[in-house]
Amino acid sequence: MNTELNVGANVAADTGMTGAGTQRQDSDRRGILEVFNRSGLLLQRLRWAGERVTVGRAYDNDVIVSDPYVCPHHFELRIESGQPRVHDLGSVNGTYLGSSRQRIQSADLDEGQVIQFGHSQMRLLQDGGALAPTWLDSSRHGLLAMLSKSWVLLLAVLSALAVLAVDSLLDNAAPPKVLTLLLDMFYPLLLVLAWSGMWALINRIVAHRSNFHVHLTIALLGVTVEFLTTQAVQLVVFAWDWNAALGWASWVASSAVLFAVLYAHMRYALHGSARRQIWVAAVMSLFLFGVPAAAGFIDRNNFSSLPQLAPLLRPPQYRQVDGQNAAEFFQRAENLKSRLDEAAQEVRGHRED
Amino acid sequence: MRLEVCLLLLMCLSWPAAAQQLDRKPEGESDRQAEWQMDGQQAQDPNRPLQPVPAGDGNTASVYAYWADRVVQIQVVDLQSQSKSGIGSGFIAGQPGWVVSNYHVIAELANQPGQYEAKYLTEDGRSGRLQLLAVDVVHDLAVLLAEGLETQPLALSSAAPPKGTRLYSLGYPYDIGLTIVEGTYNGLLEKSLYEKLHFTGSINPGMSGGPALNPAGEVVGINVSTAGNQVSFLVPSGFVARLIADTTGQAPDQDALNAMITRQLQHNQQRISETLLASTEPVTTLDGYTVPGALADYINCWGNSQQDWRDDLSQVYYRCQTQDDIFLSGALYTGVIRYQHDLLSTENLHPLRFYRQLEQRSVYPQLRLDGDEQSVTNYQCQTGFLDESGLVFKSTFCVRRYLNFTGLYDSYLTLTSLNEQQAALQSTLVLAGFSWANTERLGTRFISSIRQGAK
Repeated sequence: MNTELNVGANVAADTGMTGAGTQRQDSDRRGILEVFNRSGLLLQRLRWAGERVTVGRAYDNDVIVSDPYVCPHHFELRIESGQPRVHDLGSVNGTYLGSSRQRIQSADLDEGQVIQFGHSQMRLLQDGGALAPTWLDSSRHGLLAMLSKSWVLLLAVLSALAVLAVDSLLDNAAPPKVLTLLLDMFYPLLLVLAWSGMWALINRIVAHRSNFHVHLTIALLGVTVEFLTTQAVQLVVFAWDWNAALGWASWVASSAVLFAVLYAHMRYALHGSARRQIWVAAVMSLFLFGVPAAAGFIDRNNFSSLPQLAPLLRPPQYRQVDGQNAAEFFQRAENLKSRLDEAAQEVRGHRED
Repeated sequence: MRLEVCLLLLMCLSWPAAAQQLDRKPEGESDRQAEWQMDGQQAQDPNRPLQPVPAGDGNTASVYAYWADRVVQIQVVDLQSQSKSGIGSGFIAGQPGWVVSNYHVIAELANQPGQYEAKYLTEDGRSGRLQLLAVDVVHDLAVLLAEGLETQPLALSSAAPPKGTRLYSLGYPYDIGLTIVEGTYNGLLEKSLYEKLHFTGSINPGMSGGPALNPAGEVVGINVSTAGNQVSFLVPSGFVARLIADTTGQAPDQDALNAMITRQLQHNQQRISETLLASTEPVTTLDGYTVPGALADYINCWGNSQQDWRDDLSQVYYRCQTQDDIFLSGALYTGVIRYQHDLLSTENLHPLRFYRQLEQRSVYPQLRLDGDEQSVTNYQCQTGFLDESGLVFKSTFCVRRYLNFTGLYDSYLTLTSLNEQQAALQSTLVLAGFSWANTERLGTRFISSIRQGAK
């Protein structure tokens, strides 16, 4: 949508812009003009090659801005003694420079300075800046491209429904019923839809495409993988009696899944380098799981008159190690005794303070 | 479920104070004790006719007229608000100026002496400060020194009266003035860990610590608790005699008081543990499992079974607990044993679903103990596989320590059998206020007496 703006073509050369950069002189170009709407969305980008540019709503302008708050002939830009200047053409709502609230009649325009008019903005940039490399469209490259395929979405839907159904079956002792199943799936699915919708919205704002089906695929796969890893971790902890490891193992597994999900969403929804997104995803997932973990850690000394029981129970055949006998079990409990002595000592210390 | 309801109105929290070791014989017979025995001699022969009330015909009015001046109201006063935070009753016993009451009436004074003080009020309007001399927490008794009270002590009866004897209980119910309540003596409470007398009279809150007199005006028991509807309980006066014999007249400091209570609790848990460990293993069968049954006559067990009409789970359960506990503070009761066995089974549930149900049931403790930050530490837990008598369990053992009574612990042991695909036994043992060694011994015994197959 970049257009050459070639009004009053050769006049520019005669004005002798001695003070300006050689580049401008060489190319006979004044720079690039960018027009934005109020929310900062770039509407036009055009090259200014002539002497004078008129801006307004009328069709005879060099730059036509379809903003109802802009006058048919709102302002013009001119080169005077090599310096770009803004001249208001008697507009109703005025022309302003930068963040100033002072209406201008005519003023010098500096490189990069923003002209406010109506509900629109314009700025003048020198061309010749380095170009960023072309962004990779995640939906067309690499493993992430798979996520936009419809069979992957189908697979994600089926797998998520399957794990939610299994979870519901495990949670209820009653014979399976369709209604129970649907009710148990309702809130998780609603959450998945809301989550995908949020990412689609972000995607839409940033990249003008919602990619809803992709975000839905990612969220559904996330649900499936989260369920499977949690079950796997618990099964391993149960089988080898690694009860002390349950807390951090679940935490690591869930954080890893969340990290992958966030990263995939970001690749689609946001611009920017993969490395930065990896960092952001890592920090966010650590934060989301780290804050409750930290709160639990701080809370560990708070008094509770109830013992914290959470034994993992699985059918006998999953057990891989032998048990202790009662004497060994209570021998091991001597550790608890010394921990209790420490706790009591601590309380006594507080009391004496 | 605690059978009894403490009589004291407004109890407050906190930790306790002290008495002397119970089994210790008094060193030499003090005058005080001799005096008490003399008073008691008249009642020693159970066949002898009952002594009439000295003042007259033995009716309630004359009992009241003759003995009311020896019963006082006790108020525990919060020093900051300068108002009463708890009330109870007491009576003069042992020596002139010594007031006997329940430990639970003055527990705040024992636990936080800097925050509370106690005073007595007599029916004729005299009042004064009370100082704690000794306590017996196991039998819920306390001896206090009443400043400026010279009234002569009541005699203590040394023998249990025949069942059906009329008794007169005195006290200050609901802070509405001295009241006399008639009822009959119904013998020692059976199935009780801590001896109590059964009295059919309406004892109400505020009467705790008041005396129950026989027609001769001797103290048979001390009002302590009620189960409602004229089912009330008295502490036998023999324990008062023992406590008085061990009281020196010197007020102990806080450490000495805690040490005194610790000794009493230690001795008590040792006594309970020994009787339990010495008993032959009474067992009961639960659908193919042999489990510990009613281990002693003071342990009350009941059971039932249920089949959930909606879920494919059936449950047979058996629950046991001691009927009594020891009051230490409003937030801490101790000297309790509770255990339960739940046999869960299913017809059709897949083992993964069945064990998930068991897991969900295990998260919340089924048996609970009181306790607050002032009295106990947090629980520390360990969990693991247990292999005993050919049965494999997933077991969790949680234990916490008493802060003011060294060497005493509350523990929570729970076991789930991992033996069958569609049936499992979940057993839990809760011990409150036991030593580490006895916790281990009772726990080991509990685990090893669970077996598969009928006895």
